[in-house]
Amino acid sequence: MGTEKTDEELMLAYARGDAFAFDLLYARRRGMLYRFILRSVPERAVADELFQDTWSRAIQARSRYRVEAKFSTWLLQIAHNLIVDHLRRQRPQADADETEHVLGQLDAPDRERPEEVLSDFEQRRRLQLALEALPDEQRVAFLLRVDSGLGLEEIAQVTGAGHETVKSRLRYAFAKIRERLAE
Amino acid sequence: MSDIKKPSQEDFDAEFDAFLREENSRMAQLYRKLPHPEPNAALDARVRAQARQALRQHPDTTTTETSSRRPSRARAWLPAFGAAATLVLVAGLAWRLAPPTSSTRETAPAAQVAPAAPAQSDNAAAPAPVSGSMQEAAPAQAAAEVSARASQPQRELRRSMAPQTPSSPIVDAAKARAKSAADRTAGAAAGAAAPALVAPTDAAKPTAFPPAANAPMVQSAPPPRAAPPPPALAAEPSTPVAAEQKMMKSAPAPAAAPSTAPPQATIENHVEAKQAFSDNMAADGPPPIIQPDSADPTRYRWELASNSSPSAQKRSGVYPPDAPPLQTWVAIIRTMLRDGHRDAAKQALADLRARHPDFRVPSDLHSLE
Repeated sequence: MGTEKTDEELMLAYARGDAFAFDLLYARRRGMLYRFILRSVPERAVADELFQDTWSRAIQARSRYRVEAKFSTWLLQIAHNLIVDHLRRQRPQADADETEHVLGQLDAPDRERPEEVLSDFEQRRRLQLALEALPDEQRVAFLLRVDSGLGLEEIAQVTGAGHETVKSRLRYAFAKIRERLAE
Repeated sequence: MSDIKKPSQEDFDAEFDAFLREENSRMAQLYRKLPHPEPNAALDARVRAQARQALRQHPDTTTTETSSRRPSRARAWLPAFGAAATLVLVAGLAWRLAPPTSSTRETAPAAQVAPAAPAQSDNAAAPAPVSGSMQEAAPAQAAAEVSARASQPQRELRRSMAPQTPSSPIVDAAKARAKSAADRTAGAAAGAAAPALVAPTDAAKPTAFPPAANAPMVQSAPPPRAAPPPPALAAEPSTPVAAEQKMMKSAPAPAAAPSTAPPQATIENHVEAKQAFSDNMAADGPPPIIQPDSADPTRYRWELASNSSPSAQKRSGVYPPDAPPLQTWVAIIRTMLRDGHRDAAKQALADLRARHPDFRVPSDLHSLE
């Protein structure tokens, strides 16, 4: 009969000492966060480490948590920062040539929709490959949109980028994936 | 070419717009077909354990924060504590150094009755007739003792409230007087030159200051006329304590004063204290032996025995002219009245009043005045 508590209410309850609230919150957001991290950082061990670090940061910052944004946005922002730090240590960002290559493909002649001609398995494989091939910023924006269901403003808030920048990243990511599926 | 590109661009824009607007776009549907990996149980357990560990450490963190704030709270209270301590100190000093209270003022005249005299040990060493010397000093001493006893609780209270006497000219002077008098008394006792009365006759110097109160018997000198004791008394114990005991025996009224005259009355009025002493002098003490002189019935032979000490001395004489102790004197006057020698009694009372100006005439003798 009682209404389900929001993520923000659960986080506030945990900040007041309610461990059960954290269990509920964790069960609700663990998969989304883990996928976001795992698809940003392919190595599973690294993803596990970043996943735990993300929750650890949230736990430590519980007393400073204020309901100024969605909890998922706040949590993804923490994870994004950790991912960025990790990626900066691991490899350089995708260069602009790759981006220009994808943009050039947007003007390619029309063809059949790939999802209609490929099997589901092949589509999933290609999508997976396309995601892995995306530049980090574009992949993060795409995952935040598709997996976490964030809008442009929320993605901008998580990534710290501008609204138009996020839209542009999404556009590039969308084009690359679409191109990869159409191959 | 432009016709071919345009629909493609439009399709792309339409799909992209749908991708941005809709939760269930075609791209989203395809993405959801991907495997959805989740953290393993061990990772879940680590995260949950970390969350509970943080809650268990929360009180410690709070305590740490509180303890870090505690010094600031203590610092905030420091001015208040300092102000309170200063107030208490100032109040104590002011109370300690304030002008004497009413009781102190009222006990002061007792000290004036027996003013300090320089070189009292010299006076004590000088021989003097027995008559009148002790008796004249006795009222002043006894009155002072009564006053001193009355003010004793106050001195005790002050001593407990201010264990260390603040340095002030008054206090220093009192200390110096007490010390010098004690030294003089000790020197006289060592010389065994009849020093016994030096201390007892100085009972009339109760002050509000502990040092003076500790040595009231030796501080004040007897009146200049308070001559040394008779040779018989010179053999008495020479220590101040023994001298005080001797004085109490020879003039027993002071010991009885607190029981018959309330100390509060003494505090209220020093004159009343002296009168109470006089009454006691006339009422208490061993009964003297008074007999009419066989040669002259208007003269009375008196004999006084001090029976409260092993070394009690018998004193006797014929009045007139031998002046007896005060109570004996009063008894002689009453005997004269009883024997019908009114004129002699009247003369005896006048003689007594001349020697004891502070003596309050008992009510039964008022008719003689």
